[in-house]
Amino acid sequence: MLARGPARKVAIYLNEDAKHHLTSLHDAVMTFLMRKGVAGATAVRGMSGFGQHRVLHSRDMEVTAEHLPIVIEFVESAERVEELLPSLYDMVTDGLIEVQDTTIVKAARKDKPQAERPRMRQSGPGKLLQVYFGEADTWHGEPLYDAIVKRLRMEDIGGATVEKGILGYGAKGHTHKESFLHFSKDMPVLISVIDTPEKIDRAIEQIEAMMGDGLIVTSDVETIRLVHAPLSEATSAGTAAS
Amino acid sequence: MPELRPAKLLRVFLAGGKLHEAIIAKCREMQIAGATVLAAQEGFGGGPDIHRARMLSSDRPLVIHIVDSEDKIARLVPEVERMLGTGMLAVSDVRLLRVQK
Repeated sequence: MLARGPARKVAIYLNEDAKHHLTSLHDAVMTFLMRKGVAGATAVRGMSGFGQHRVLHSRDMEVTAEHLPIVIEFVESAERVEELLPSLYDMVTDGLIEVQDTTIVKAARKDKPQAERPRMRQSGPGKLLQVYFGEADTWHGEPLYDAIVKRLRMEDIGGATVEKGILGYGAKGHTHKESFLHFSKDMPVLISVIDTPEKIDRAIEQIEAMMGDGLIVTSDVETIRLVHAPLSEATSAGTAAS
Repeated sequence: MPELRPAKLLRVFLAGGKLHEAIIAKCREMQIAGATVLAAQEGFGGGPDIHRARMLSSDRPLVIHIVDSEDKIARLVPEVERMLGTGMLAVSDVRLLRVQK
C-alpha cells in the first residue's frame, strides 16, 4: 500500500483505438501496470478530445465511438515511476505521457475480518494528553470534539477518546451542569489521547490551534497497546510476488 | 492532612461490547480498591474506524479507571490483557486516599 506523503502521479492520454501488438493500447498499459504491482490505476474514457492529429473526436460525431480519448492515471512513489517510465515510453507510440508531483493524503483499504489476524502487543512509556473544554465549543461550525478527533485520526495519532462530564467549571468561569428542568447543551468535555511523547507534542500543536478556551494537561503513563497486526506487510509481499 | 499513599491508576480503553462487565468482575474477585466504567462519546484507536455513541448501537467506546497499589495493578494487568482482544492499557502514578466511613 502507498504511504502518506509525496508521490508521483502519471497521466497517459491515448486514443481508444490505439493498438499495441494485437490488443488495444489502453488494455496493454493497464495489464502492464497491474503486472508490475502498481498500487492502483484508473482508465477513464473521455467524452471529447483532440490531440496532435488536430481532429476533434467527440461522442456525437463518432457513432462507433472508437476514436475517443482514454486517460490512464496512476499514483506511485517517485522511484517506482522512474522504473516504469521507460517501458511506458516504449509502449505509447501515439499519445502523451505526463508526470506530476502529488501528495498522498490517505491510502486506505477495508480490512479483512479481524479474527484472522494475529494480535500485536506494544508496550513502553508514553504520554497521556487530556484536553478539557465545553461541549458547545465549535470549530468552523462543527463540534470541536468531533473536529479534534477527526484531525488526530488524520495525523496518525494512536488513539483518542471523548468523554462527556456531568458537572464542571473551568476556563470560562461558569458552571456546566444539567438538571431535570434545565437541559444544558454545554456540558464539560474531556478528550484523552495516548501516544509517544513526539506524537503527543504534534497533537498538542494541532489541538491548540483549533480550540478556544480550555485546558491541556499531559502526564506520563506506561502503556500496553493490543492491536491487530497490520495487513500491509502480508499484502504488499503478495502483490510483489504476483 | 491525611496521608496519601503512592498507588497506580490503570486506564483500560475499550471499543465497546460487554467486556467491561467481565473486567469489573475480575477486579472484584481480586479485591481491587476501586473500578469505574465510563461511557465515552466517541473514540478511535488500533483500527480504521471512529466509534461513536449512537442510539441503538453498542459501538460506544468505554474507559475503565482502576485504582490500587502498584503490586495489585501489576497482577491485574496480565489478567485484563488475557481478557482483551484488542485495546489500550495505560498505567499512571497517582497518590491515593481511600475514604471509608
